Amino acid sequence: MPAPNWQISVHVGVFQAILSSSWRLQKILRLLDLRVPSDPKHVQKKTKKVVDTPLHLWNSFATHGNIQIQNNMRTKTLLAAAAMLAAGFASSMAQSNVYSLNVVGYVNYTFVGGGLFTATANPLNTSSNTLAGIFGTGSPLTGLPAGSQVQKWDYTLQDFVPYTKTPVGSGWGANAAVPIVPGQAVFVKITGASYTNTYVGEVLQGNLTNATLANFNFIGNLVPDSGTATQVGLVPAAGAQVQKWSTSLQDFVLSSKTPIGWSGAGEPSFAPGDGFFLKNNAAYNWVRNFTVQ
Amino acid sequence: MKKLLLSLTVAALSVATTYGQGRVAFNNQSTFNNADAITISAQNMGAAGGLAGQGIGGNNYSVQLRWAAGTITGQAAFEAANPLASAAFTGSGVFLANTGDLATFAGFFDAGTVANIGAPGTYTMQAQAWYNVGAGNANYATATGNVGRSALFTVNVTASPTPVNSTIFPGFQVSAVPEPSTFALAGLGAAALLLFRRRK
Repeated sequence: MPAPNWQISVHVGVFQAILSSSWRLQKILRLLDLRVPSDPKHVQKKTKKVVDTPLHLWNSFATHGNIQIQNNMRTKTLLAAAAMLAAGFASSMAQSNVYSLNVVGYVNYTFVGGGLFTATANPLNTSSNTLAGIFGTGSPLTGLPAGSQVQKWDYTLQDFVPYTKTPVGSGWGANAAVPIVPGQAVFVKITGASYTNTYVGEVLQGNLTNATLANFNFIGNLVPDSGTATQVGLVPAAGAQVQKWSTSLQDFVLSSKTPIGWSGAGEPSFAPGDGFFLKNNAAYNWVRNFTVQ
Repeated sequence: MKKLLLSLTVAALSVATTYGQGRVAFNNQSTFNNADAITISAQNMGAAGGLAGQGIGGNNYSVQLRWAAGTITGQAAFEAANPLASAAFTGSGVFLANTGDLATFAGFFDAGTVANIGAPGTYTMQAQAWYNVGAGNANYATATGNVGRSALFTVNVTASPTPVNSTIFPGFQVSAVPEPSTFALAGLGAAALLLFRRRK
């Protein structure tokens, strides 16, 4: 997440600046009402001077006459300030060592209701890339409404395997841990009103590969960016086919890769969270080199 | 009330039928090998019809899909099954190039999805192509220019939301349709040969 990283870097910067300048240190301590001698040679003298300095008219210590308490408190305050400063410094140094580059975010994706299908793919990585982790539990009911259906593509079978959400337990019976990893698409069928699903998780970065095989692969973008097939790096061999689901038609719209471009519906484009079929004649690696700026 | 119930039932049935209809992607783009292109075997329509060995394309040729349920062997059995046919597809939106050199990907087409094939299952299919310019050439059956058909092939037709399967068939050639007078001449020749042999 950009904000916490930014906040961490500012935190480190402030303490490093303070420690690098004695003038700034004194200024800060003065702001904290901590009196520190400006010249180290006259430490003792300064302390005496402070003790002997006539008290201000509004100083309540004069009426109570407890000068010793003031001296003790000053020493304690000084020690406490030094301790705080040391702790802050140590803390800032520790934080600079655990500087995190993880970027997290969310993607809202609407699943059409009325018993219709929506093809979608999880665009973010979570600590639980499973049916229950992505689409919620049954009791308490989180995520998809009860009665919703998720159909996962089985590459070996070349067919879908359906899972139905229930309002009890994990919501998915024994299938709660079925993996739904980033870049893998599913069909979601919502029986009631349309439902906006919020994918939350980490944006994958670096050199990423979505490996696809010959025949039908139900996939999605590994990262939450959008654009044409070329813009998102999807350039399969000629003869490959993209079948993109149309929620209004409730059927696929076909685009075929030719040696001179795309035929059929033309070059497909994708939004974060879209799922689609890629049919290859041979294995193809969809490689992304993605970094959040 | 009865009328209302009847019409509702009919409407529900028609919706169910439409929803369960199979479809197929009609194209010959699985490989882009020359062996899978639709080529011209003999020129009979002048330069517009293309030269022998070239691929068909552009607005001068049309392609069409025919199908019948089940696995059928042999053209005669296929015709006996009364195959259905799709619309005829033509133009630059269908063919990758104009009629010409195979290197330009002439001979390859993508007609998109052909819907309402029937209930999902196995179908025997055939692609046909013909020269469509001129009077009477809008249909394959009445075309007088280059015509040709693929070998029979089978496709597993699927329905939504299962992905669409494509037609895959080896390339074929379009050639001149023999005129009736050509048949008559051939018959005369055969008769003459038989007569000649008897006299000997």
